[in-house]
Amino acid sequence: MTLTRRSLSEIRATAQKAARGAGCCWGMAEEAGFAARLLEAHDLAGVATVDALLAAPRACACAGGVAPRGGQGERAGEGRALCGLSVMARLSDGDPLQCASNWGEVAGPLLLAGALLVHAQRTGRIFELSWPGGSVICAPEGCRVMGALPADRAAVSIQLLDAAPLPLVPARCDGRAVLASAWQRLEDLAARTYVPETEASRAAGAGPDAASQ
Amino acid sequence: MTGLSLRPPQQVMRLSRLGSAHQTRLSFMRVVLRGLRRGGWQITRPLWKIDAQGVGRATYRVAGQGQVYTLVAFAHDLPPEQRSDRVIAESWDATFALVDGEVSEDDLNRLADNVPLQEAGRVSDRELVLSRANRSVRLWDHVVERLASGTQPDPAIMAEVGYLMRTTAVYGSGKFGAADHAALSGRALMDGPFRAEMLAVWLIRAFVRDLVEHMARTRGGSAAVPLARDLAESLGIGNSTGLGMAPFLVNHPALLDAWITARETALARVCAQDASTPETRAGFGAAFDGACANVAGWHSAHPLQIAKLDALREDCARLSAYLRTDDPLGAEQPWAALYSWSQRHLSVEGQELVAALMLEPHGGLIDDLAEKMGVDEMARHCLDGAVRLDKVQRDLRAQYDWALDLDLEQPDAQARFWYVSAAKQEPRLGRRAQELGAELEQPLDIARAAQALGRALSVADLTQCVADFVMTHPEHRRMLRRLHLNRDAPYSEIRDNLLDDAILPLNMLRLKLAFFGATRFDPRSDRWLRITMYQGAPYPDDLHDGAEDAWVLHGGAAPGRAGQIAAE
Repeated sequence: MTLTRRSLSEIRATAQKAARGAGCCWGMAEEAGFAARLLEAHDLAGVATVDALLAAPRACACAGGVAPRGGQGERAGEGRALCGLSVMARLSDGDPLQCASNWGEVAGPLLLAGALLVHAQRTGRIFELSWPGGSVICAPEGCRVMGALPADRAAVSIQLLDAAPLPLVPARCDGRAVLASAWQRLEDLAARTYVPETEASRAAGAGPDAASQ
Repeated sequence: MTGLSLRPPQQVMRLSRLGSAHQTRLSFMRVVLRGLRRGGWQITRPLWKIDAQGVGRATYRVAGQGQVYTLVAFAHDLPPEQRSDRVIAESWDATFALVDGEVSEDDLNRLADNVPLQEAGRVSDRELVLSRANRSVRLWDHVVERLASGTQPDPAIMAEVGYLMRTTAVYGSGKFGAADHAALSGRALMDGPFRAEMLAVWLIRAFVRDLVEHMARTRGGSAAVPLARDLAESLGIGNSTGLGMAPFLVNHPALLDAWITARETALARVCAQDASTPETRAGFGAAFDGACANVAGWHSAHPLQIAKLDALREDCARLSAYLRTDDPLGAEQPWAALYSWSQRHLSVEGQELVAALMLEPHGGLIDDLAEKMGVDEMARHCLDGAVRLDKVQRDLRAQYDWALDLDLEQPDAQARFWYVSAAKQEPRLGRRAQELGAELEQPLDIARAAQALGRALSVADLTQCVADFVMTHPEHRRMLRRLHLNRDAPYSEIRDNLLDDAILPLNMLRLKLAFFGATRFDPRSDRWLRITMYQGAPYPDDLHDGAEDAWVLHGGAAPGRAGQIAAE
């Protein structure tokens, strides 16, 4: 398991470009970058989660499927889990406790912790995101994983806690060790957003050239 | 201070005005140098290991207010045919890293393996800035030759170029493994936008002077002389700035708003003053005199800039006459009256120069605003999902009327597209009808996105909330986020169509560079320009000499040339 070190800025930028390269609209790609950075800052596997998500068949409006309208009782169908990025965005946009948590299986469930961390910091509340075999506590001061990490897709639930178990992992800003294989896949997806070089584009280009010396 | 009247975004955020911005006392270079002086920072050069060919390494140590930073410089022997300012270059005359703290021999060796590679290498959390620079060959050779022979270089040639080396990139904020911008949070002086980068550039300038004197000594031996202080101060660090900087203003709207708000608040505070004082009148007068002299010597070969400069020279003459005959600074609310006059009588470039000059003598009133120019962008990311769509529709009309009223169907309205090239991820601007890649365009299409949102809202259930709307319309999420931000950050959006055939990316570059503190804007095309940084500034060994900010050039040109013109 080879690791490579990346800064939080690189993580955010690459995850965003990768999501776009995978077909997400720009607004959702921004959410992917935001979530990856936030999770990694708390020692949660944001890069690996986004990597697994983008490779997973999932029900998502960006991907041409059905959006997760949990409040209206829609569930993932035909074996497809709901897109964790879409569900994360849904949680982020409103009160997480008022969003229905009967979504069925969610792909990339750890992404939801990103929204809960933001809500915790904003409201002072403490949330627990649970999946079979484990959970993550999201508190204003940081987070803590309890039990096993989630599978790439899992049914999840959210509840409010009165207090957070200690110790919590606060956010840090130093570089993160991420899986090199996951990072490479994200970079490969990000490369889909670049326009291949041609002699014409190189000449028309962006700025200074040898003739300017 | 309440009740201030800031200039409205409708006026301030047009590209033509943004592209006429000048450096002010809130510009980052100036904030850094004032902070170094006021904080009693000390700079030493612990290492100088450069050989007779000009190849080797050096370090510059900066210490103050409980902190230490070290600039590590590598000098290379670059074949002339490899010298290029493009992002796609692979080797340079000199490469640099600004390190957080002291550096050990192991650090130097690690950096020696990576810094000269720039984007192809990796740096660590201990590195704050990664940069590189190329020589101005003509001036470099001239200065070395003269100093080696025991004489000073020709001031006219010095003034014509203005720098011995120019940086072609100054990377910070976590790029290529460097420390995240949050690493400097809470640190005196260094917690602010681009402070580390501006510190690095100032130290690079010191290295460049030291290197050219070293090469002169190598060639001339005991006959060589150091560069005269006034000539050394007349040199800045050049910079070639291309399109890479342009998307920044669109991709960091909260930060853009913070910068503009600080500047506009400063202007409003000054305008709210009931009277001037002898000190503020004298300070403005000195700044204006300097601007007139400098504008007289500010030359460009580009037709766009030539036209601006012609207008600016006329503006200086008009303003000079006005100040002499009407004595507006002796009246009530003098600064408001002066700015109001400039709006009626001067070009946009002249108006922005007056706005910048008015801030100069009011440091006690406005310098605190420099600490409000940073933003926690993560905290401003989230969408307000509870807002109803009828309010969104009203807000869109109120805040993005400039976009909704554009005719994007006319042929030139979407003629351009912004993209990232696979070649070293260089940002570029293409012509939609003639070039490939438009399907991969970057999202700088704010006007088009605003119109698309407007169309979607016109057929939507307006009692719906944003959260429900974006679940089935995720393509509008980005625009909704910008709309939400703009509600409380009115200067977050450039109010022009960035896809239009007539778009001048130069204007975007100039705005950001003015906030850096750059002068001597010299466009070379519609999408790149050369500027000079720290021209006139003290070096580390005389940082604490003289009056604060005495080095600042107003109106942007070389003091040497201005002095030559004055003598003619």
